[in-house]
Amino acid sequence: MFVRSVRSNLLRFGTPSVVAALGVLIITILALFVPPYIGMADNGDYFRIIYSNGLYFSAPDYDQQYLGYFVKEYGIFQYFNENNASLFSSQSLFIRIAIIVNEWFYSSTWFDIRFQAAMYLLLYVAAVYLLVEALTWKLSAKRGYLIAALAIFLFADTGYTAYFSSFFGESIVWIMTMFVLASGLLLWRKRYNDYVLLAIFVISALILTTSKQQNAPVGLIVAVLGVVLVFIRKEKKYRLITWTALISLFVVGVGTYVLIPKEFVNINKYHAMTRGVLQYSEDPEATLRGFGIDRQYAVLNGTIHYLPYTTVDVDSQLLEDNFYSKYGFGSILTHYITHPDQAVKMLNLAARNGFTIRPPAMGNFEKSEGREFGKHTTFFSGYSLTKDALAPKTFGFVVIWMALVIGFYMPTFVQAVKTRNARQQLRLGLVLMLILMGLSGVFVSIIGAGDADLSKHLFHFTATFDLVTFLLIADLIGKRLWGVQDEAAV
Amino acid sequence: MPEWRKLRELDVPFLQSELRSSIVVRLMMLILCMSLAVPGVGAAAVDEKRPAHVLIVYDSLALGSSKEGNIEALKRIVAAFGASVTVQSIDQYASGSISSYEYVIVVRNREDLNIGHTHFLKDLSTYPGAYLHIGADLPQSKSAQLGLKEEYRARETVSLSIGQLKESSMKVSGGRFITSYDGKGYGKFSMDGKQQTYPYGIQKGTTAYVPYYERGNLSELALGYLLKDWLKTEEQTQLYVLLTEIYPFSDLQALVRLADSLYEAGIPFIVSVRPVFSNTDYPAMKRYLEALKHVQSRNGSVVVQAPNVSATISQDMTTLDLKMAEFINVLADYGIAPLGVGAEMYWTYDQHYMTKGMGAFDSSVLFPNKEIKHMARVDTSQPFSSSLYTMDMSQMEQLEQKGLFLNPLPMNTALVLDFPTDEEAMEATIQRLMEEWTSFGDYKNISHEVNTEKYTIASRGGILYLNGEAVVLNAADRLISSEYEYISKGEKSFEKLFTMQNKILIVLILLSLFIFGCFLIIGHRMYKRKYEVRRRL
Repeated sequence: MFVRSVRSNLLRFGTPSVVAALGVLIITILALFVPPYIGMADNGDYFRIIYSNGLYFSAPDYDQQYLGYFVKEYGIFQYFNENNASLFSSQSLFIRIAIIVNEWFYSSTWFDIRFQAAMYLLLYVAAVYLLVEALTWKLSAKRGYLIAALAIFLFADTGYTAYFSSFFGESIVWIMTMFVLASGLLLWRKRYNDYVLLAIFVISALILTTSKQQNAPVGLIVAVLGVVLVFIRKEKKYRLITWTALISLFVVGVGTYVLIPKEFVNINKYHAMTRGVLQYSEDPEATLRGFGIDRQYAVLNGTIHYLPYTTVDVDSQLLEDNFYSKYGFGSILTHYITHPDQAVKMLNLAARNGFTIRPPAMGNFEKSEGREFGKHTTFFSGYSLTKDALAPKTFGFVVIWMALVIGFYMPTFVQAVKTRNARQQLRLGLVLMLILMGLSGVFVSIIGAGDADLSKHLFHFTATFDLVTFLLIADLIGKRLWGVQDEAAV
Repeated sequence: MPEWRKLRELDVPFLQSELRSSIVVRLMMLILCMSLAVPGVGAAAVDEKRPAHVLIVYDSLALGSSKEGNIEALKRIVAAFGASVTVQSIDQYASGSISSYEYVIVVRNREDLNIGHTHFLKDLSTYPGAYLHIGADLPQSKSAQLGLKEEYRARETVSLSIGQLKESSMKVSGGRFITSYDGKGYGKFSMDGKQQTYPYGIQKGTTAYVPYYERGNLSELALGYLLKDWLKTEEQTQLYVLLTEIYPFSDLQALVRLADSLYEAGIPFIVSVRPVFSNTDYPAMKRYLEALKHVQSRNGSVVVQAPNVSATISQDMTTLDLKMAEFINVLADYGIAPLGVGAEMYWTYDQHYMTKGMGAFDSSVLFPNKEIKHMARVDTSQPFSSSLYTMDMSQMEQLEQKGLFLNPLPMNTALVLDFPTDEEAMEATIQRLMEEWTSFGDYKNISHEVNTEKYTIASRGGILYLNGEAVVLNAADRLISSEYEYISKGEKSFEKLFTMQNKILIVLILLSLFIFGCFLIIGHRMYKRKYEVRRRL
């Protein structure tokens, strides 16, 4: 009797979504908040985001720890901070909230990055809960827990969670992408209140769009593919709110692109030419002439501005006048379209880096741990290591994967179109949205910065690949791919 | 009778002392001549002069005030006299260390800072070496030694003149003006509407005093006149023309044209060229080298500009020496002899940049700091056997000048011009230099030496040497072909086999498509027939 009551209580409260969320929570706590603390080393990008938010590098030997070691404590500016916001990013919002929480509970002079990690973790657990709930609601316990176990395996991986103890925008990208998918799926399944879910969907898409400059297209993709959302309800009020939200997303997407600081554009623009267009050109001089650039710039072919010593300063007036001003996103895109062989080579190069969750360059441990420089953790990294080792790293595989996924979801979509059920059409819309987000990450990286720093630039691709694959497997387990959509809204 | 005969006839121990000394002198001259003919041997012996070691102690960097940057300016100008400079703030000074320096410069930028209790002042009171005081609070003993009387003015607009140069309307706040002194005065301050003049600086014996020193006006340059005497240097100096911002992708034809124009006008010049560390076999690089070779043949001397430091966090920082040597070798392979290195001054205060970046050179051209990116900062600079002080030509042109042509400044100085980026600016630059009456020096007339594992590059008496062989200056340009295999095709194995296999596969696929098509048509017909049969039934 007692056993039965415990079992029924466990099943009542320990739903697969709760189990998945708790699993991710516990594993991540063990990874990030129990020594040895796991985090990510600075690759030189932290400066831009933290100084403008009132933090500074307080470790005296910080310079020696770049790329190698994770640093968990930073100083909080006590006086006037002369660093203007050099980066327009929603990440600033989260850092500032974390600083406030840090000041309440810890110190007003030192910032412990674990406060930020804790905040991200809470959001993340909520996102995992919603996602698994959307996929396991009304599903048999056996199938539901199988999906929950898969979710833990994927989402508690330290390849993802280590980002929380870092100032990289990837944490926001990851959490918000998951929120977009989860809220979209919950809308599809008509679980919870539509207005609340719509709010989560739009807010997370907004934060996602403004989290990184390269995510500017995300706003546009969500705004266009999200139009289906307008038709899932008939009330005028609902439709007006949804239209307004989607239009704002579109505008924010454009705004994010416009607000990119110049310096950031220069480094990427430099690489877009030297590590992209010129790299696989059989005649770089002719290619340069095609862009109206002096052929002598061919000597920059293949050079990386992250190298310590370079011929020319990336921000020099000379490059500004004679190099950067001659090309842009459009002309590079046209170049790749007219030179498909080069485009394919670049895409294959991207695919080679597109399945690495944890960039190889940055270490995970603190210096005080005494590990070797740049050492990575293997704690709960089964998924990321397997994926890195086994994924077929060609763009052809990505194309097949896309065709497969779309093929799987197409029948229910066609059926939904035939029956004019807008809510049922939502799922393929979400899948397409994610695929396009990932692809935009690839294209923006290649066109915007060539192959420089690809494994970090392609984070959004790897994240969306995992989410879509997880969705597909969960739907296969839940037999919801082609079956009768009884659980979904009718 | 010739003296050598006398020598043969006499036994050595009985040689007359006059004759003996005469022979010794001749032998020495002979050895000297022989050693001069072989570059890199004699000059090193002759020029071997221990550099002066100067300690600069300051109270404040005066950030945010008009004096900000004067310590940097001072470091640069002292370095131009070939001195090794140690810079310390008064708080960092280690008790007793003053005795290891022959020259001490104290800069007092802030009068309100009380430094009375420091070890430094205690040590200074017994210091026997040369002493230069800049700014406020000259110690009593030194003041008495100089017989100094001053007057203080809170705010004044003054004119400063020194040598041939003059700058008017200089705003001086909180300035001290020397009214009476013993010893030698340098330059003079005058005020509008007043007859009285005041010296810029004074020196008596080994003690000197300059009450006002700021960066960016004539007071910066004027210190050189006093320093030359104070550091007791007697070297003949020169003015040079230096063109900077020359990249492989600069307008190389314009560079060649500029070189030709300057050559025709008899103006020797220096080009500070940006190094290239990759793709050095590309046609674009060959064109760059060809242009530099032409410049060299037109009395242009080449110095290698320090590379741009783009990131100090990379783990790959240590290869700078290899990269620099590689670039020097690329130049030398092409018959170009780089004679020195141009860098922002902070490079000489960095162990890493000094050893890895500038280690191959014995001559430098030091530019003001633009953006400091230290790797291994040190307090003491390493001197070069030749170090040029640099000054923008436009800055010099803003000064009033007495006489048609400018005599050399107290230190070897390069007047810097950025290489023009457009046609109009290029014409203006050529015109500007053509109209110049000043006589500019030829950089290769000074001794320089650059060493890599592959090459010893030197200049002696206006001749360039690569591994001991004189460089033939040839202005005939070579046409560089644009043909180049940028992407190596790689060796192909079993090419025929794979081509054959491809063809077989294509045939097989076409065949199966055809068969498949046939089946499709047959199937369709059979289905249709069956349907028709059923309908008929």
